[in-house]
Amino acid sequence: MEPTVLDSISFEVNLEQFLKLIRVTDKPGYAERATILVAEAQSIARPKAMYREAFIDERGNDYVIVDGITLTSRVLRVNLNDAYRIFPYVATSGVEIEEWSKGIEDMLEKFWVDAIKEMALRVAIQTFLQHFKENSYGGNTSSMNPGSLQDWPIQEQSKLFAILGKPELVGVNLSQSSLMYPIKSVSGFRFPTEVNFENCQLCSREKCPGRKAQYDKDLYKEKFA
Amino acid sequence: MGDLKQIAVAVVEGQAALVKMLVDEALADGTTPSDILYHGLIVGMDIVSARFSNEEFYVPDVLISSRAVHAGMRVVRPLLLENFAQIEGKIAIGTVAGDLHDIGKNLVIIFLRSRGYEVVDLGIDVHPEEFVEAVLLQKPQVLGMSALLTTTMPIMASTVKLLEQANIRNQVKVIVGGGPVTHDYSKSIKADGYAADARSAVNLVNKCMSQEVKSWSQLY
Repeated sequence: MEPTVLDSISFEVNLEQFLKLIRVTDKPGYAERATILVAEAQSIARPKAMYREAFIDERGNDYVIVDGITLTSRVLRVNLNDAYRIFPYVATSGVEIEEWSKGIEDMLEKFWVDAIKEMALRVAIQTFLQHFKENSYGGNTSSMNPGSLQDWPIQEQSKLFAILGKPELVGVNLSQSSLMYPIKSVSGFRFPTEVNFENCQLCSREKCPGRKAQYDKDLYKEKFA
Repeated sequence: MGDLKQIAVAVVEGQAALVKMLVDEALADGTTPSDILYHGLIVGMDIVSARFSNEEFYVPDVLISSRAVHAGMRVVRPLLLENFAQIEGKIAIGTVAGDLHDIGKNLVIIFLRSRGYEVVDLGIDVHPEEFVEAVLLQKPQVLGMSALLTTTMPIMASTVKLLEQANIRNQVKVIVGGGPVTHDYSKSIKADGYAADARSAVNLVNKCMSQEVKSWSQLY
């Protein structure tokens, strides 16, 4: 099945909120410069996303074969117990804003631009999720991605991209370390499930700013061992 | 010392233009560049660092104060060099391969530069071979590695091993940090030190640079 490509995503920054976020509302000179950067970024940014439907061919103890490609992860395998199809996806801030941001040298402005790129990525993710729910699968889904757990290393990212097919359509490619470029990109598989799953449930790291769910110290033993 | 206190306050408030003006005035009044650096600019940045640790300041505040420090540094640094004052030392620092998180690393760089250290930023996604190359080429006294993912922490161990294999392990002190990294982990990979946050990273580098440190173990 051909992937769905979302490449006409509009991007608008709420300037007031942004200036508050970067804490310059009471610093006119800084606010003025940040406003200019926001305007430039908005005119350049082209957030994008793509996804497709893929089918599970086979399951082993710690692997699943999807569209002929073997994904090795015990956690993924168990999570896909009741699924027969999954939805690989990638969402990105877009190569346009990434390239533009390379021209920013100043550390403070780099931080601001990083926040703008993050916003562009969030818009891409939201657009993907909405499109996915309205057009592909309206039921409950969870997501997994390589690189977040020891169980499923980031080197499997290339397999995800192979299943997704043509990620170059949204300008995303992988580095030697399997990191995505543009940097502000996320990828993974969404899969139908009645029980919500987050990688964070299996990660004990304290004080994580990105935590989406509480660590469950017994979960791995109870469900995935 | 009144002017120096004003400089520190202006740094905390992130007023770059005011810092520069106060530094110019202090120099004109006969205050030494060294006093301006250590009793004005660095004092201000230490306050910023403490407030950041206490979560009174956030990353953007630190960056704005950093700009203010550098407005003053640009004036005093050439004078310090003229007077043969010692530049504190050189640190090469990067986020390990497979990891693209750099906010913590960048904060460490900001605080280190504000202390007068020369910092070589190796960027993100740095492979062990690249760390080793940086030690060979840049000859830093300290090599810093940052990781925010449990999955990328082993790169730190690989780098230490590669430094040993290249017979340059004793030429550089290796310090590590980042969200999932712990003191125990740093010891297990035979790093020389661990810092839990940007502020303690600066203290650790200060220790590393200190002539009093006779053995690696003293850093723990």
